[in-house]
Amino acid sequence: MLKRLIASFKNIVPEAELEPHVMWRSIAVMTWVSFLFAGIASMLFFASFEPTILASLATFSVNWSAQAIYTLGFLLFWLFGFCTSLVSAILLALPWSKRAKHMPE
Amino acid sequence: MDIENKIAHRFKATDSNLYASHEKVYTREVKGVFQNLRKGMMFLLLSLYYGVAWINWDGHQAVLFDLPARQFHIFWLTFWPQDFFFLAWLLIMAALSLFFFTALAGRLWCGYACPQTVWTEAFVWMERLVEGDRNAQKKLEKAPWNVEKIRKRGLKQLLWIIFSLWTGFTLVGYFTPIRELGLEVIETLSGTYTLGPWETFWILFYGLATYGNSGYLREQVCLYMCPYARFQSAMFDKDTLVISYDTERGEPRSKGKKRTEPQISDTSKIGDCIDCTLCVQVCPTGIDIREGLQYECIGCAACVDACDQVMEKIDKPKGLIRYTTEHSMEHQRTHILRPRIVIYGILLCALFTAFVIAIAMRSPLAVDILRDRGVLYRVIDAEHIQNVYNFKLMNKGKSAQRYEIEVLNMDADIHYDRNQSVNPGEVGNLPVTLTVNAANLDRAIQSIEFKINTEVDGKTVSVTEHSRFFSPQ
Repeated sequence: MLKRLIASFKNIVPEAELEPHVMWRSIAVMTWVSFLFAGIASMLFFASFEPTILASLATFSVNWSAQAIYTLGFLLFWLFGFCTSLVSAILLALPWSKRAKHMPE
Repeated sequence: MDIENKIAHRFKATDSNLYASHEKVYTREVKGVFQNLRKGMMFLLLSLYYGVAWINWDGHQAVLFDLPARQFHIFWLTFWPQDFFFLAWLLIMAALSLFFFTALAGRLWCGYACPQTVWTEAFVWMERLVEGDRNAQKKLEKAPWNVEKIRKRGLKQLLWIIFSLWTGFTLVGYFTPIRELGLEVIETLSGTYTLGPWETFWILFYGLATYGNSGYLREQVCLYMCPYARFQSAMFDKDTLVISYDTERGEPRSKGKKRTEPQISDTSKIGDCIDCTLCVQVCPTGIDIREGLQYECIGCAACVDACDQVMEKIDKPKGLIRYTTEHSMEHQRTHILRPRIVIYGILLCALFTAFVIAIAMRSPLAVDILRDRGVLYRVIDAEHIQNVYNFKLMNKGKSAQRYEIEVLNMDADIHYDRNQSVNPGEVGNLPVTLTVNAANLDRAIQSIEFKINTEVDGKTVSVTEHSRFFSPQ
């Protein structure tokens, strides 16, 4: 499973295919940058909105403690930041067919 | 170069060793003035971090960011979400100080105060304590996995893990009262699981982050992950304090017998650098400072101390590697007072003064007046007009408040519930009805001034707010 995941990642980030640790580096950068902005986003968001009141306004039943909402809110911001970074990285890399022209080997 | 060629070129560059595999940097220990300064800073900052959480103030934890209750306690001050603006202000000041100190003295922050540097130093210290100096560490790395290696590596890991978990525990201790948290941890360790799931998660998470960042990633955080390391050069100029190797004095470098070989008759052609490579061995980011200013240099001054020791031994003046400026290296005058320093300095002073004043004058009461949206005015009889307001009263104090409201610039009959009280940290809604004699009104919309008084610790605190009074005239 993990092997397949790594293989598919190498397909989308070309540098990763050349040097294996480049993939880990790109993942580390994405994780870190999204972490940084998740921190700022949760600070701004939760300073403006009280989490327990937000939970009581949810369309589905949410019965969590304030700590749970703060933590999950932060993790959610982080996850979305990471996904944004990941998709940006994928799209910024040249597609396979274009790359093949430039790299005969 | 068109864009496609550029990309092809980029991949060619990638093909070579731009992304060389990482090798662990074994730093050699060095003693000296700057290292003492750094150790002092490290000791101070770590004691502050681990110590402040345990200080009590006025019956509560001195520094506590109580998220569930939505209040931040910092010694005698309490901040509510409504004070968020102070936090934003503080962040702006932090950014500005970073600009100011970078322009003035280069990467002081990186070398002396950055948590990454401070915790890495602590981890390196533990590593040295168990595994020995640089050579012993290298030897141990190459050694087969015998009992000795397992013992040393195991002990190092144990120290690192305990220290990391303690760091995570302390961090959570700033958000949950640390004494209670400590008891919960002890109870949990002895079998009764009283520690909350989110506290557990954050202790482990932050512990893991500390362990990874300071134990393994170390200088790679500065090289690959830190945004400041990349943009700080934009704040540098030729008068910024940097650590630099005096090429003019040091080159041509030569070592050992070569220095005294007879064919070099003119000794003035031998530089002061004896190529002992100590400056490289002590560098935590593994660079050679003699190659010039590099973005990898975190300004820790380890090479300065190392080189000074060597210069002392070979009877040469100290400072072959030293704190200097680019201008001074070019034999020009260094200007400390430059426009950017003056501008940053004045801005910073102004912001700081205003910050202190604003905090000192922070009112324990904030008021917003909303007019009743339904009706502009109500005609009571031929003489009297009525307006209805909704007062939003934010109690930023520590005890419940009751309010006394008066109208300052108009002769009006005011009616509201004088017994309504607002608990600390809450926002109360207080409907206020104002009846005014039409004879006193000369305009359809009249500006009106309210004064709201409340008792806080035996003293009267007042807030003045404006609104408008509507009438049919």
